[in-house]
Amino acid sequence: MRNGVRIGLIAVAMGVAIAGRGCVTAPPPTAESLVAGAKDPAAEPTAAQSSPAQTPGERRAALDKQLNDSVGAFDAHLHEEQQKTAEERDARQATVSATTTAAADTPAASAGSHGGAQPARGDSKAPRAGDLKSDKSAGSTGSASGNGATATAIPDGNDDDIVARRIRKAAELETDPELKDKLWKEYVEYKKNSQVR
Amino acid sequence: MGRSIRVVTAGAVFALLLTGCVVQETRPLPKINATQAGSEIPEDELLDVAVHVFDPGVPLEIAKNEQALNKRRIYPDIRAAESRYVAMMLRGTLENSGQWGAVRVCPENVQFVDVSVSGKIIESTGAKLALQVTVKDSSGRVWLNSKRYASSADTGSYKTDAALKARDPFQNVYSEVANDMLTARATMTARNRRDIRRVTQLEFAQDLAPQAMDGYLFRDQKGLVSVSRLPATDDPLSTRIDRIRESDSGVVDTVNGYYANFTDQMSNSYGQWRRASFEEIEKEQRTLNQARTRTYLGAAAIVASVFVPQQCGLYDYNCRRLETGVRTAGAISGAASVLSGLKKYADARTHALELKELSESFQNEVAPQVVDVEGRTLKLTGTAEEQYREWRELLHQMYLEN
Repeated sequence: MRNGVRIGLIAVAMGVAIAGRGCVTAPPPTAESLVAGAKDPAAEPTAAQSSPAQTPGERRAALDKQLNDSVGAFDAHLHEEQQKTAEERDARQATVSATTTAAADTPAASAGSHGGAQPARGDSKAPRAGDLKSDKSAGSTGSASGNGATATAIPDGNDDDIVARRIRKAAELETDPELKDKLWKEYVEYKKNSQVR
Repeated sequence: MGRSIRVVTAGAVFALLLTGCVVQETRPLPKINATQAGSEIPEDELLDVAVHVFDPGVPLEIAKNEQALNKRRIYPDIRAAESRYVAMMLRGTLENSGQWGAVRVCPENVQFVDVSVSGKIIESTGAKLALQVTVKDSSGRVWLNSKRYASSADTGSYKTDAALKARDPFQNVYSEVANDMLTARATMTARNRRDIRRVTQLEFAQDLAPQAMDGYLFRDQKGLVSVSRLPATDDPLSTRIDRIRESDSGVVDTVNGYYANFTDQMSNSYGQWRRASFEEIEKEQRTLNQARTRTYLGAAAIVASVFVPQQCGLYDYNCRRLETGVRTAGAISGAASVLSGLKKYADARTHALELKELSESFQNEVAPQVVDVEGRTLKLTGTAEEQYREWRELLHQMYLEN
């Protein structure tokens, strides 16, 4: 009799377990949703778990796709952030340049004002640190928010130091015209600053 | 009478010595530059460097005591800004040397980098910068252990706005750190450097997929990590982890971009503050020295005029009149000197107050910028952390499937 009850309980538990598995058929999370809000994958069903009938190969492929989508979406989010940062920097540069020009146009202002003596940002010693130059794949993740063509002539690279050589090489190899332009600007600026030093 | 003259002469010599002690060195300093790479370093030996945001160095015991902080010229909001600024300056120096791979400023929680630099600001005013720097590599080897670097400001940088933009007044400190890192790296073989890169890669992989990547690294008794074996070149899991590592580099790059913008934004006002701070500190020091000299000499003159024993004979009235005159004159000039010294102390306090006001004004300007950059950094690193958690789970499932 007791054995009968046990068997009955086990059967009920198995039934609940199977029904539970059948409930997790939610579609895999989209890439956007992964970036927008973090989810706990342990609590959420994954693509691989969603279809028990899938073969291991299919499950692996689904997991792979989920990972790729998620990483891709996150990269896109990062790229947006980097672009925003570059735009902020460009805007500030433009303001500084405008201030400098205005001060240069007004002799009284340039003689006495605090901001008047301030050189354009391009005159600063350090290369612009936000340009992702630190990335060894120089420019591969860089922003494409340029604001015009290279105004200065490109110096010849005979006396380049190692950093200048790297920037020059990256500029020569770059295929994206906007990015290429930015890299050349960076190169010209670096050369100018290294001569000042 | 002769003895009185000797006392006065001794006082004059004492005064000269005292003045000699307080001469300040304000000439431009000799410039130290970071050693540039002479030749191209092979790609697989280029070590990436993470310069962590510095510890602002506000002592906990006086963190809430404004008076004590002012006395030590510590302004917490300025220090918070400087902790990022100094890291950024060091990064610029390292990157410009061409000796390293990617050099980026990142928060303390970024761990998996070939070489990590962390530090603390010991003192930072317009007149002096003192830092304590520690450098380690991913295998656990310590390159620099809390080494102290300090320098007075190079006054050449304060001469004009252009000079201030062209070279940081404390560039020598950053250059010295860069050169010491180079010396430490020079003690390693090319193989060591390649190993460091591999260890970093495997540590990152192990953090993401602990079960799958177990056993690739070995930690010895000293805590040094080395590579015990390598994953197969076509290992699919490693390929996926490498892909995630690229994203991780993107996070660090983005955060570095935030800090770069922040530094750029504050640099102009900060430079002006530093210059003003230097001038006020210099004036305060000079005035304090004058105050001390005058007070001590004045007090000495009064003491001498009172306590130097009588030298004249009992009936030598002329001599006694002269002596009394000298004593009176000594006491009067001593008192005048002491009063002048006290006035100088008041002047010094005025300079200290001016510095405090300047600093408060700059603090008000920079504090919201610090909050903004920190907020953005936390938001991004928080999102990234959540992503890594999810990717860890996915990689774990892939491992189980395999």
